Amino acid sequence: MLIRIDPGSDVPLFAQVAASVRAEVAAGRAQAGDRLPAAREVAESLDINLHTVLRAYQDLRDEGLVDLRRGRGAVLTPAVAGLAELRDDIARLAERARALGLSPDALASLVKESLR
Amino acid sequence: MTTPRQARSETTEPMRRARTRFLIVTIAVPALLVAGAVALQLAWLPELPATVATHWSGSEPDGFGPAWTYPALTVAIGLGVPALLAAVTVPQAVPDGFGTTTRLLGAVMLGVSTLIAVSLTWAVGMQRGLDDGADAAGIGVPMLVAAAAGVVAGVVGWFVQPKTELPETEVEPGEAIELVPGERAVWVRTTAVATPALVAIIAAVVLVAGAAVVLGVTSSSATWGLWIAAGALALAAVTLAFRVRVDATGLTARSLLGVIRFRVPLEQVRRAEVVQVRAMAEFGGIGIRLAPDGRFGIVLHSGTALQVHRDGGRVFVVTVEDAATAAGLLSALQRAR
Repeated sequence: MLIRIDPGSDVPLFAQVAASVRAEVAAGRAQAGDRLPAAREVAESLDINLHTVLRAYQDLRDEGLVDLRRGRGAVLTPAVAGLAELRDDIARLAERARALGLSPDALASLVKESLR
Repeated sequence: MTTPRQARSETTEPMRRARTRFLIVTIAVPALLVAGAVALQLAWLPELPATVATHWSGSEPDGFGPAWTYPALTVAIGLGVPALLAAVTVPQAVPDGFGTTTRLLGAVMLGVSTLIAVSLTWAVGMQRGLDDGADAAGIGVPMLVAAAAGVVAGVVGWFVQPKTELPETEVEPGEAIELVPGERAVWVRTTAVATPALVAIIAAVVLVAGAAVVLGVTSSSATWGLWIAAGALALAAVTLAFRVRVDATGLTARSLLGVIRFRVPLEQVRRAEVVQVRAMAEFGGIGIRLAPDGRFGIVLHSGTALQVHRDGGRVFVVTVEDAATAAGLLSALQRAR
């Protein structure tokens, strides 16, 4: 599980942490049943606030991707399979957008718009 | 869960020969030795006192048991230990290849079997015609002779097995992942032994504990055996699973149970790469291992592993899935320093 943050980015840190987890699932490197690293460990390693990581994990729980249980930590739910299934489609879409010179933000907002 | 990628070597003619010789040295010859020893011991039963000496302190016997203790121990240790070791080794060595470590293991097992067969047979044989086991002579000479015989058997066992060349395995350099300046990243993954290995370890621990109990019943120095069993149990439990982490401080591997921790600080990382490890052939099995070529490893299964070259030429290996990402992150962090 690779989690990365860029403090220089406009995207909030908790959103970057959550995005890292989603990206790992989409890349097929994490599956349902896998446990996310302990929030404390992530916070220490990335030198960020523990609550930032917890906020990210809570967002992932609200999306149904993660089960948060006391004592068991954060575990990926079977719902992540959907994310993994989209992997090829996302790669194709990103490829097309790049070829057409569309910026990542523009593509993201287009996708968001179409999901409304 | 994906299964770890196995580095399989083809079963060539030299490999088949090495396997056959390994089985002869660890099973066939010990079986013959133990059969002969037990036949002698059983034939002597009528001539033995009711209780025989089974343990010595200095030159005086201080532990006693029924005469059948000897054939039982001869079979359990002289054949049981080599057979258990072969049962654990062969399933790993067949895909991995029979190399220097299995050759050494086979030789040592033949030596152990010889030592046990000779020493136990002699110890019981010299008590024939005695009225009481307490009158038994010292055990020093029999042990010396048995040890010498064990060494000779071990050397023979080594040379009976062929020297084999293991095929080279692939090494992929860690392709540095892209980090923008200021970006921070952490990679974490749990690595654990596979279920068959887990079963084998538990079986071994149970056998050791069982042997300790047998020793406790038959000998006066019961506690050391139990302590060894307890130690093996604790050690096995602690080294079955590790949490591997790569971050700005470097590489850390911490055991899930207990306090064992290994670290390679980032400033000591020269090069990180992905290798395919053959646990038995290269490290002599699973666990915390030092390979004959000097590499230190947390080897929990055969397959993909993260390999880190440190300053001073030392090499650290940990078998873990997605090692490519770990190697890539280490390379990127190292470059960004």
